[in-house]
Amino acid sequence: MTQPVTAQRDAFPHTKRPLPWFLAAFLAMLFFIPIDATELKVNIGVDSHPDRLAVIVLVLAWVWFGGDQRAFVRTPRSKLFVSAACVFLAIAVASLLLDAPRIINLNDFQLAEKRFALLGSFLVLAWFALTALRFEDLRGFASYLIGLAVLMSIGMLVERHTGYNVFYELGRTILSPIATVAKSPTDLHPPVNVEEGRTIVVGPTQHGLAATTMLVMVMPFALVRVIDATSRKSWWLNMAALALMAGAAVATGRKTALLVPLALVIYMTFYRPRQIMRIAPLGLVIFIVSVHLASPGALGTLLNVGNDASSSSTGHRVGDFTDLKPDVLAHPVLGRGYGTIVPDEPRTFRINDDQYLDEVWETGFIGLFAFIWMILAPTVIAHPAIRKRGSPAASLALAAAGGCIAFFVVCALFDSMSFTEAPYMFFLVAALTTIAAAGPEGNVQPTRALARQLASGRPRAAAAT
Amino acid sequence: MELAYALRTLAQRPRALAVGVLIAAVAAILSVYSLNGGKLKARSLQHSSASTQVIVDSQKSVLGNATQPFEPLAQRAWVYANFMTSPSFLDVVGKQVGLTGAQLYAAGPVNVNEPRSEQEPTDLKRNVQITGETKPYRLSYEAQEKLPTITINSQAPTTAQAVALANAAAGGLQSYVATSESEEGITPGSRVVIRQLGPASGAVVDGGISKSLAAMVFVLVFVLWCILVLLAGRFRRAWRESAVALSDQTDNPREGNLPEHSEAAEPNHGERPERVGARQVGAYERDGADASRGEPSYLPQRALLDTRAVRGGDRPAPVPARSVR
Repeated sequence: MTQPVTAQRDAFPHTKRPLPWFLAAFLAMLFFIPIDATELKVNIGVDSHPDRLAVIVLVLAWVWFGGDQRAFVRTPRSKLFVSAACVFLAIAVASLLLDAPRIINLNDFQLAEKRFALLGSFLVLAWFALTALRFEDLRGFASYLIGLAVLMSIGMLVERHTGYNVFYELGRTILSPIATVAKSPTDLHPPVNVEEGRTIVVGPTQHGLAATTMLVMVMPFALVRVIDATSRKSWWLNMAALALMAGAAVATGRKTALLVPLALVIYMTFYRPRQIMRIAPLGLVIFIVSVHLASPGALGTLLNVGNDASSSSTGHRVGDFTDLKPDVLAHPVLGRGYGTIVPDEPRTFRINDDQYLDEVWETGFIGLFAFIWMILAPTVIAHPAIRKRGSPAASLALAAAGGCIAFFVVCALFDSMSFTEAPYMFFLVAALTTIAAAGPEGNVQPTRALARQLASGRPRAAAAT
Repeated sequence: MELAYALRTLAQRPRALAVGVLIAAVAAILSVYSLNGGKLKARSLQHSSASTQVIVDSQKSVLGNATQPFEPLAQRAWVYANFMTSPSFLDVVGKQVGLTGAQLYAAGPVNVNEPRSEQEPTDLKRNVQITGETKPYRLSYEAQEKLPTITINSQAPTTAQAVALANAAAGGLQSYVATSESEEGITPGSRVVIRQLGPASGAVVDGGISKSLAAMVFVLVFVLWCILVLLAGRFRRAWRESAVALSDQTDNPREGNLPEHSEAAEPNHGERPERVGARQVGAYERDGADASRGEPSYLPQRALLDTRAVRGGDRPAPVPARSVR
């Protein structure tokens, strides 16, 4: 086949195809602009956050630049994740429409519409990634993701040490003609009764948990490269990136920063036990030292088990189960309706520190199973590809599936869908997993190019892109 | 092109689309109307809200008296606002608007200064809230920590009902407190006076919700129907082609197994398949590209969707017949 020769030349970032670049720009926005704290000065008909506008731009670009030319439907890539996402969407819609009179009576319908718009944005991003990227783009894209995460980590470490949130401050300056950026919630010396006296480090998000989630979902890409490193330079570079990400995640003072990487290591060990065991001793030392240097004291705070067990956060988590029981019993099958939980009304709605509980609450047990399946479907797709040791797809599939596992764990630790950045990252990583699992054979030749080429009578394979 | 192809495929099935429109219209109508004895009855989706305020005052009003502090009255206002959610009070309010107390749902004020975890409902409180979620007549009260006022918000199917409900709550508090004071024999100078700060005013909250709900249901059902039509078409095609492939296999057992993708199963025997229907035979065209390689084959017109289009030159290529022409 002549395809690989052509493919090497046309792979992100060495490509003139516009769609991967649009996706890259979207990710840059996600990693550097505090989207939830930014309000555009123009009315775009939906929420004025920049990501909504960016999603509209993605859709227009998809149409204009022929996104449907590489239509996902006719690729040999697995449809498992897409169908799982569609099933979840259908259940979410059903949960809302089948109980619409009650939801309208409670004035929650408009809120649900907004939440659906947001869910639509997540799905658009996944669809865009699935149709914009070819397998050959993934390596470059993984490097790009690691690069973004490293820059974000540096910014967060600066924030942790100085209190200066570069994302908010620079964002406010650069975006001032078109948008307003709220004040950063960063607080290095919070009162004891606020946020349990924890230092507040948020990076480009509004909550440390969202920033941590973004970093831990990129970590497996760096970790796999450490495992697969063929040169000392590559090993050290990726280990440094991993250490920076870990340091920045721990800097938020969130337990998620320790638990999710631990889950990732366990997941990776399942597939690559020998490699993980080989790097474990040195990796652990580097991890502890770098985290301590990057965020002094943070590790000790997180590992204070006695404090954790008696904290109000832990107490609240325990209360989630009993206090949610009436709602679950009232609407066990389809929940009280997707998007109808209003966090601004504390006398009616509690904030659950668990996305799975939120899913039971909003979409019932059917919705919960669909949600879990949507998260795990990419890992199921990736499994055979990861098992094919030595194939170019194996490492990429393992890294991307690791990102999905990170999100799976994250969902058990806090209400991840409430922070826009976390689901954006998941839907992107899920799409990357699907592409990686299919390998180069998952690519599809753009239909227009194929038709042109066939009409000219040239052999088909020569023009395969 | 894929999108255009799907739209074109749908356009070629006008009858299926018409059925889809019909089903979507029925679903949309049923989302805003209910069948009641063979007749359509509009669901009460639209509702209105109204609001008014009362001040908890003394016989000599504190509003114009700089020497009297608000705080003691503010504490009473807080107590009254909570009391106004009680069943006995709701009975009083209900009677004034021609309802029973059980038809009303009321929520008391929230102390915004409390930590969120204190404000969040316990399971017992949530049980009570859930039972009231479907009640169309609703009251909620707001009281501030240092102000002797209670804001009464009401919700009802019509604006007139919402206004009446809010006024009834204010009047109900006035009469309840006055009756209580008379029964207790409180001297006039020591009595608390409830003054309503103007009549309630209200408006429709979600005008057009029925239309938007119906539109949403129509679009969703119609889109689902279109997807079903497309999937059914693909399945029918795959079914027919698998039948052809099976019969070919039976005729030539040494040719091997079924093709990997039945959707674009290629007879590829150098001649047209004989066991397919006339409609399908019409869809087969000469493959120019393969003919150039000396591999004559006949491919389905819809082979454009074949996933093997990407796999390079190791297999005979499916060709979109219209593109070749």
